Amino acid sequence: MKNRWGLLLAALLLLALAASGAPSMDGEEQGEDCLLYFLASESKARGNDQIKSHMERLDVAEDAPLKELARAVVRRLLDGSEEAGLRSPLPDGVELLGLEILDRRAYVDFSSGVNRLSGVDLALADYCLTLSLTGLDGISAVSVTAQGRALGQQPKQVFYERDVLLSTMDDVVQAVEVTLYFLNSSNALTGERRVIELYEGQTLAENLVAALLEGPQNRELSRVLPEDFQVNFVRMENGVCYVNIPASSLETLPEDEEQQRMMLWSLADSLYSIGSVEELRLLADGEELTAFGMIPVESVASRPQG
Amino acid sequence: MDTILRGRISLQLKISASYIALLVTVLVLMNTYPLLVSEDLVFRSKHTALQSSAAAINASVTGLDALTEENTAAAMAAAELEGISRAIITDPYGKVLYDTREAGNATGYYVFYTELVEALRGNNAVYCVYKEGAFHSSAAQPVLYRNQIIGGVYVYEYDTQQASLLGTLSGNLFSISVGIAALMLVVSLVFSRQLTQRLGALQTAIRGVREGAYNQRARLSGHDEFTQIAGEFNDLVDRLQETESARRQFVSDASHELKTPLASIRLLTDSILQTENMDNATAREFVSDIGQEAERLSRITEDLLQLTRLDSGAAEPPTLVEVEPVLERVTRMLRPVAQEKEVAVYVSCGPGAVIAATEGEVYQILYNLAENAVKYNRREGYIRIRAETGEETTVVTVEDNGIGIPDEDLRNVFKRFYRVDKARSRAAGGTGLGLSIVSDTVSRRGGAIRAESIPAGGTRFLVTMPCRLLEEDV
Repeated sequence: MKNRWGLLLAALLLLALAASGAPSMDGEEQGEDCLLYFLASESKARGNDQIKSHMERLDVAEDAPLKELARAVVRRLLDGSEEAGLRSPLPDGVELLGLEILDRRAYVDFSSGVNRLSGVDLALADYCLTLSLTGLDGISAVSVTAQGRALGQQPKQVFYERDVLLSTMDDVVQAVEVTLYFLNSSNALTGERRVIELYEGQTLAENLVAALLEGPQNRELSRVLPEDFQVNFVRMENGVCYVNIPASSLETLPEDEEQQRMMLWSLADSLYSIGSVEELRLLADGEELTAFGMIPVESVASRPQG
Repeated sequence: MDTILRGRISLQLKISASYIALLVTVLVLMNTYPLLVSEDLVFRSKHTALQSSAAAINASVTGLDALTEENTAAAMAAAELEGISRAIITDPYGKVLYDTREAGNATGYYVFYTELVEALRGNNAVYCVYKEGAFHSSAAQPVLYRNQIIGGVYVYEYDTQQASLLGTLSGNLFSISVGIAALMLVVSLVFSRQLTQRLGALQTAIRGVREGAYNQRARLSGHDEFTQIAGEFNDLVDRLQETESARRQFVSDASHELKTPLASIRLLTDSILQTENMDNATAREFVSDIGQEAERLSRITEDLLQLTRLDSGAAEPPTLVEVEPVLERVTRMLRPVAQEKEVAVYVSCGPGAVIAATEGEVYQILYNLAENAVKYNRREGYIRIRAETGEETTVVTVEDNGIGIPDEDLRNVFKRFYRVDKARSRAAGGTGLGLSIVSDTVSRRGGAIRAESIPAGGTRFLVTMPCRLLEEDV
């Protein structure tokens, strides 16, 4: 019986020793997560940006100083990503010679190998560095040198995150806020704020007129343009908006002068809610109109000042 | 019934499932292949169109030694931008100098679209993809001045029109597919139901027959395989019914035939036992009668056994049996009976007459026919037995000038226990099975037998037997 108790105690002792000596099982690696920017392989990046971001875990202490963190970022960019299909924007063999941070600007000095980059490849490398480093709190600009000298081919010496537009084909729909004018119950023009979806290739003026023709969303408002009113096309050229309507539409205009005025003002005021529209020209089958029914077009030809 | 139902449902399910699987395959192909081909055609067309547009814009800025926002805008003022949604011109670093986009204009920013980057490295690039209801196409070309890359042209097209057409095509194909699927589903269900119903009718008939309802028939209309199977089944049941009737008749006849001598024996033994002081002569007469009845019982039993053996189908392999020696043995065995009835027996056998059977079978055929002819002959009559061998067959004729058989009985004389004149037959010691044994034996060896009346009086039996051995018998 004594032997059994002895064996049990020995087993418990071994278990306790094993538990104390075993590595941590929580699976968490030490380090800092940073969003870094690499070059995507051409085959995977078709239709998208060549620069692609990826969250990488850097081998630095959580409370590491900014400079050390920035160095780790650059070294990871030099080494390449952990993610398959992403590669370093810098040529092989390039080394980080120095990195200083002064007045929120990171000065990154590479070995001479970086001079092998030119043209768009140089720009890609500059902005992969810039986007990665400016992601760190305390860095807002980046300068890159090779052995302390400015890179001869670089068009600029200081790079900012705001210089780059990263977008993809998914970005084809843009939402733009405009004001459309409809009639209220007092028969006065009232603006309705509307977000218009603008697909690639469509002009804002064109979509605005289409929305105006569709009528208001607010049930308390009513449309000004008659339902059978048609527009051939709306075109913008150097701040001038050309609205071409079929000549036959003029024949169906309401006879009431007040109604004609409301129609013209509704169209003009809505179009002038687009910041880039400075002038308005009305055409009937391509011929410029001087009067919309009984209302002179000249009254709405220019953006109202004030 | 439950098993039949399950079987029908299972078959119906299988048939329906097969149709549906086939249909789904066809519909999937129908809904994918034309769309893929159309999509590919659009891609090719987009590639060409976008490359042309990029080349046209490229031509607008060709000749400039360096690209700036001002000179590209001036050059693009007269450029045709029909058919594209966006055009971008950049410097060699990817900085946008000109952008047609109205909202979110990228002029002054760096953009790194993969196709543009490819162009700024000196290569033409084009890409087209269909997603979210639109064709997204892009193409890029380098802008060169004296073989130096001074910028890039990037054009982009967002096309919902062709995508809409493709969507309409896809929708139409889907609608047609749904219509076809619904129609085919109904047709396959109706068809499989019809099929299984017919099968069910056949199964019901089979089950009925299995349970003893021999009058059950499968009634299927049409001319397909199921109808043919039903026809075969009905023929089979006809034969089964005939056989069953014959069996019942046979059992009835056999019981009756066995009962008659047994009843006589019982009567005679009762008479002996109940008659006191019966004289010896009478007793001997009674015992003699009992012996005759016992002998009759024995003959009937032997004949029945013989028929049972024939029915069992097991037969020894045939040999070529010479008819003449067998005929001699038959006449020798019949001589006492023939002499007793004063019937003359004439025999003639052609040269080399042989029959493909066993010797016992040939003897049985000849003896039974000859004995029958002697038994039912008139006093001072004759019987004539002839055997002739031809190319393929040997014909044995046994004829007599006896009392003959009425025409209406001729077709039945080979039936078991059939007697033309029952009283006379029993008196003559017949069992009613002799001719049946002959007929079965002849049939089993591939021969034929028929009986006919001789106009001048008497009966003729013609037996045709094969005189050659078949290959499988050798």
